[in-house]
Amino acid sequence: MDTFIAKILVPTDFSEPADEALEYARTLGAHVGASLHLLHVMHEPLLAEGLVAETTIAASPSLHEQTLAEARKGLACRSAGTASAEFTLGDTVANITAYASRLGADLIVMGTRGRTGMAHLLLGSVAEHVVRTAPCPVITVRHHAV
Amino acid sequence: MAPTVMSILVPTDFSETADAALGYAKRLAGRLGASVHLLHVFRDPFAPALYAPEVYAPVPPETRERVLDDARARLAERLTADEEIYFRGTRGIVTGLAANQIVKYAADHGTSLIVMGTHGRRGVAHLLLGSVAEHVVRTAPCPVLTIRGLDGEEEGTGAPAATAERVA
Repeated sequence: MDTFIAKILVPTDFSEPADEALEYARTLGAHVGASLHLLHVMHEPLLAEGLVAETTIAASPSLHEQTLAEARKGLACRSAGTASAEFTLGDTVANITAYASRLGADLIVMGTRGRTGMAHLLLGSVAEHVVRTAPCPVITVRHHAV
Repeated sequence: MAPTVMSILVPTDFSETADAALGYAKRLAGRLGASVHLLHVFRDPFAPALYAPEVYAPVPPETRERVLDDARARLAERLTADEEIYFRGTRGIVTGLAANQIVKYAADHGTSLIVMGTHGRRGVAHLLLGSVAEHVVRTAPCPVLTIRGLDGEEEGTGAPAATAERVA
């Protein structure tokens, strides 16, 4: 059996575009016989905006706990049929590419327009960044473009 | 939503990166039973947009024909007559800006997936606008599979100046 795509990594920020990408990956995975691996990189708004240091977040257990609970819940309701569903905390793009390497992912499937705003204008979307740095091919699925 | 891949569009600038993307697309198409469509966007090196009006001159017809013949031959090497049948494929050449034409082709032909390499082009245009692939990712009417080429790869027909020199 040709298994040139054995593992598909699907990063999710629990947004609608990410869910569309997950659906796309489910169908594609079924066609090529690949396993699906979900990854959520915890978006800690204060941390992401660089307004507070990581130590401040660590010192604020209630905030962290709430984020953890949301991550677990978000993954749990999307993990049906996936081989793994995990979350990490930190820079979204760096975490996605590092996780893809560790997993040995053959393909990343992700939605675009997951995040907008100033960071998008300056740096492009998370998906565009992953495209530039991923260790494997990336399928970008544009919101409402399928 | 029905994300079944029926047809795969592979844009090529004849770079190694594009060839790698085509190889990947053929493999995927074989697996999914999808058709493969190879497209080369011929960018008129003397297009007014690239140069000030005082240096603009239309490409002489014979030069243009020679460039197009060369492109046809390169396409036929990459998607052979046998493969054209096997993949229910097509080869096409269009003129214009690469990203725009790729997106237009995908929209006009109901392409299910675009497979393309990144880092195919470098230089000032890349710094200002991002690569062709990034532009396609942002504007394509369908999902786009991008495959990174080797970092630092220099692309044969890349910079407008080089193209102009070769064609002239």
